[in-house]
Amino acid sequence: METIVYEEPTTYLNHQHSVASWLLTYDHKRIGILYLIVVTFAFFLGGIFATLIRLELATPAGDLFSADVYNRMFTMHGVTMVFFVLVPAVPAVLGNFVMPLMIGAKDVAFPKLNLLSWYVFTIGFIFTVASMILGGVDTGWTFYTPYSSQGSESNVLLTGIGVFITGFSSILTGVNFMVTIHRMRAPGMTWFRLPLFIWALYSTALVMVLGTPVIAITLLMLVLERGLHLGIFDPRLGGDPVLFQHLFWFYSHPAVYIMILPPMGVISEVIACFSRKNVFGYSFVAFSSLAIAVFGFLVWAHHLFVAGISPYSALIFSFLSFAVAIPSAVKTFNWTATLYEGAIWWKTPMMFAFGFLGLFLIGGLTGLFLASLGLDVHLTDTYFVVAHFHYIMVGGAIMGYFAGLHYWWPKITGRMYNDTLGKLAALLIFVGFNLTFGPQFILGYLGMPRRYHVYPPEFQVLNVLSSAGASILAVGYVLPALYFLYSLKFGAEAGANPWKATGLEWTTQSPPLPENFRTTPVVTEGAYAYSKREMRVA
Amino acid sequence: MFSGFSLFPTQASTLAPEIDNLYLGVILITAFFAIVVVVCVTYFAIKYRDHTGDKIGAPITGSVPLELGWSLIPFVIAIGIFVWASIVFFHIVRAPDQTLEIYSTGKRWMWRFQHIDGQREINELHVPVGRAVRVVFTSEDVLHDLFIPAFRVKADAVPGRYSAIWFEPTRVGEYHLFCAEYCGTRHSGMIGTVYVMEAADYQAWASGGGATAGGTLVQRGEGLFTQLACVTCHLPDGTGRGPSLAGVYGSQVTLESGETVTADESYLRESILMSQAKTVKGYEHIMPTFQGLINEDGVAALIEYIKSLQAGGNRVASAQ
Amino acid sequence: MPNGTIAAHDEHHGQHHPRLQHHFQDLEQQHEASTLGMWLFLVTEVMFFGGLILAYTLYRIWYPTAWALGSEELNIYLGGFNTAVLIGSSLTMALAVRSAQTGAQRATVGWLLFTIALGLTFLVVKFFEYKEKFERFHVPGPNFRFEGPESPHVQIFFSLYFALTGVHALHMIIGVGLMSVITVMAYRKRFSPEWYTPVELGGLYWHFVDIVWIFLFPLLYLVDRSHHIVSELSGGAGDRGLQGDARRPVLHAHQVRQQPDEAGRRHRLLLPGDHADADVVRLSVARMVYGAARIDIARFDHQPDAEVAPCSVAACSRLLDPPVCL
Repeated sequence: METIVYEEPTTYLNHQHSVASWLLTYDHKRIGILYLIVVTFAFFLGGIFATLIRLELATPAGDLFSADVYNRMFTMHGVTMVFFVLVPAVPAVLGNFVMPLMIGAKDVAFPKLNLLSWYVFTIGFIFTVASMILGGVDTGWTFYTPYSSQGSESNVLLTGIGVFITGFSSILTGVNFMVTIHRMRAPGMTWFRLPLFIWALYSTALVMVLGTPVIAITLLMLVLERGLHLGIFDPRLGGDPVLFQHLFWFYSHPAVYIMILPPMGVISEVIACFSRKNVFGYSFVAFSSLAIAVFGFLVWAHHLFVAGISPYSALIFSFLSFAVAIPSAVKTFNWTATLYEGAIWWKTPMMFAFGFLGLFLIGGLTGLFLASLGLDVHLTDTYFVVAHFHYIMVGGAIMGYFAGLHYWWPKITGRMYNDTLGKLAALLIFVGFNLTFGPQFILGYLGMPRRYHVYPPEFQVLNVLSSAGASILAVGYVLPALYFLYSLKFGAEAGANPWKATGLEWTTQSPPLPENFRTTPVVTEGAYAYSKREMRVA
Repeated sequence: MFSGFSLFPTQASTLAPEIDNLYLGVILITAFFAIVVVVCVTYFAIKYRDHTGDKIGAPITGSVPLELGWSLIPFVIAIGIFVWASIVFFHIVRAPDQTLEIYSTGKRWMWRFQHIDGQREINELHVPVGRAVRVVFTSEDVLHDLFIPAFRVKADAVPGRYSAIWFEPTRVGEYHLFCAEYCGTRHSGMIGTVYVMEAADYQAWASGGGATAGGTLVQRGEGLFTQLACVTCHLPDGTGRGPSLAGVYGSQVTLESGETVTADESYLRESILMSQAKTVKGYEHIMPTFQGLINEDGVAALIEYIKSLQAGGNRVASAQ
Repeated sequence: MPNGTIAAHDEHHGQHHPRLQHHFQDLEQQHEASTLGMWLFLVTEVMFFGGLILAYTLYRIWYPTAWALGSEELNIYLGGFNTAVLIGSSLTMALAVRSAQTGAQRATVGWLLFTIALGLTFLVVKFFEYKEKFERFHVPGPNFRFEGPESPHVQIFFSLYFALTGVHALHMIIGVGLMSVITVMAYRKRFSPEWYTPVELGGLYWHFVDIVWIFLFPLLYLVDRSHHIVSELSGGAGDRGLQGDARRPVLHAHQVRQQPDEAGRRHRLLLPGDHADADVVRLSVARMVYGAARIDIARFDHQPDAEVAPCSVAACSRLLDPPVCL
């Protein structure tokens, strides 16, 4: 195990200090940090909304907020979390930071475009926050017409424009990542030597490129309909509100894969590293990412089983939804098999990865209930759905994001955080999460509809459990913020490769050089060559 | 059912046990996989734990037979669930032939119900036990969704078109009725109660109380049929400018294009409100549209009247 | 210079092409990356317009008559002119790229200016088309007015017309902006046969925007012009058809005359000259004699001197008594 020490201590963090050097940087690492700041802010903003929602739901009556305020709370929780946390978290924060490092590039293919993406993202976020400050929006994050186009009296326009703008950040990032992965790989970095995180990012970029423009145009149509009275979905003119749902979910279902594929990639990295092994069935895991990205475009109408689509098209979409579950199952089995005869090092990132496995498993399997036509009729639009997608998006995506953040934090900052506190956070999140969302499966089957401000009293016991779990969850999420901040100043020096991992990102110093590598690395072996125990030297 | 704690909602329709069985079946199947994975992960994590971080795992890269096995076996099982669930689904969406029809309109934030006997109610729905009931509904403004958990049925109410749910209550009692599609401020207040009554009680309720002042739904429809001059063209003997409507409901209608459609509620509704959408073969595009001239309740009454004009003369509606 | 990484690499720049960005190995890699990026971006654009065109397609299947009526309101001459303008601009753009490739710098500037001029022409014509729509209350919204059948569905047509052409025009405006920047670069002799990527990529974008128009023009202006007549006369299969509106004028049977042609199978229907708008009612009138004959729709107009016979009482009264709101 060789640690490479450079004579000059220059890093991407300290070679320039001015505010302008951050706000006008073309460095993918600094842009990753910029994303981290906005995403973290959005995460806590969305978290505050979530907390208030759970507080309100602790009692059946609407005693904390009025119905209108409550409706704005869950809408803004959804909008913030989906568009400004889940979609950008892993690709834009971690992907931006480590992807060029992992493939041995100096930067992404289009650094200026990358910075532009961040600005577009941030401007979209500012629009959205402005709409919240000016009174919020109450359509639900799905913006279903005709409520959003005619019924609602809230700031649909401003939020719609905010999300529309943010979409372009996704599009540009997707294009940038695809080109980078195609054209910027270091010599010897063949497709099948790529770390699985890169495969996941590539698949994600594919979804971003193909899906995001559709949501952009859909929201644009909504904005035009609401703002300029165009009548594309207006039932009074003979327009079809269900068409909006089709277009919306054509993006928003694949968007789930934008949220979950990159964390899956992170989990592959973390499990390989902390098991000291190749990922079991590398090519199956790699291609399952692509399969998910492609099949993900064919299942959107499973959100519409009770919305008035033909039962025969429902059959097809149900079948395809079962089919898309298979690549996810394959990944899970491969991760499990990777642990077999490994040398498993119980460090914080691995704890988060274990948490991911458990929660994603439940999230994925409960997806089968919703893909089942006969069950979906009863379960859709209830808390069962709420629980299911939180298991995927929070239990899966955020858990994976945290695993990645803890895994690459030493690389990003050059400092170690407190491992015990990290494990504690992982445990708190895992327990708190299950307590929060586990009861919601039961609530859903009992028939409690989602987006209910007041609910019948017999649902209270489970709701109280859920709210109690949420308080544990909140502690679990605040804790990493504290020890991460602490580590910046007081953490131990990490060194180039604290986890003794393979991968090009660990061959350069921590924090990395402004241009990542002193000389362009040459790759001679696969991504997880732990059995050879030789570092590929830059 | 309004109190206490349970894991399952009351089973109050013939569909409910079917769906609950499916639910339990899928739980068992998924629990099996979940337990296998959790046990393996836990066991491996403990058995192969390395405190130092310096050891190296076994040089295993993969196994094609294993990959194929854990792709194909779950796939076959998934197909099994798919088939089972789809069969149940078609039981949910396909109503039996003889049903008691009830018309409903969702509107922010209430549900209006119209019984064929003429009873109208808001946020309350009275139905007889042991009889298949079909609720045909639409929305007057935004999307809603009629959801009765005890019956395990649900469908969106979409403005401009009809949706339907059917159920056969098996238990007398009071059950929740929810709006399950977010519709604005008082979405969570758009709830009601379904009263499942003994057949005799229902009969008494349906014909009592002066709520039938406006006549039965069929009578109201008949009134509209005359008032809107439908009667001048749609002559019962088929000699009119429009096709005869006797027995049209449920029949196969051949359109000018040559395609045939089933004359269900949605077809009748469309023919009234957007009369030029489909024209029956052998007739002309001459019927004016009635969009804006007639409200949802009126459309429902007209449809019910047309349905009562069965070719054989026997009406579906029992309480004529 | 915000990017310190360039400073870190300044020492290498001596042997590199001045246009090579620091994070690429060579010009070829840079060029390949840029081209791939542009193509991917165009894929996203296809998806972007795809959503709108999907909506267009569905509604056209549902409401073919409204599509025909709406389409007829568009100015085919202005649209056709604009199509020619854009096709011409693609040619000048291609010549600009060619000039850049061969290092003919003055010619590059010239062709680019030509392209910009054509782009601006398109936008100016588009402006007048929009203006006309405003004046005729064909802009969707509370003030929308369409004196004819299927007004609500025609409003959907115009909604999609404005959405599609508006988004396209926005792309044109962006394109003209891009071209201006590229022209300035060309004027300052930034391009050489080794490096003219911006001209090439700008060209890709420009051609794409042209192609979008090549789709929009027939979809919006052309396709249904003849179709609806056939559709009306053959019974309008799948046509959601005529929408009544109580506010519209009532046309009575005695006001309509018809004129059989030599074969007796075609009819000319004549409407009263003082009737507000013959076009408004012609489709509805066509229906009146449907079944009796094929109708030459094109000849519906005010022809006071034509030889006329009263409309057959049977045909008209069947349809217009009681009066039908047309």
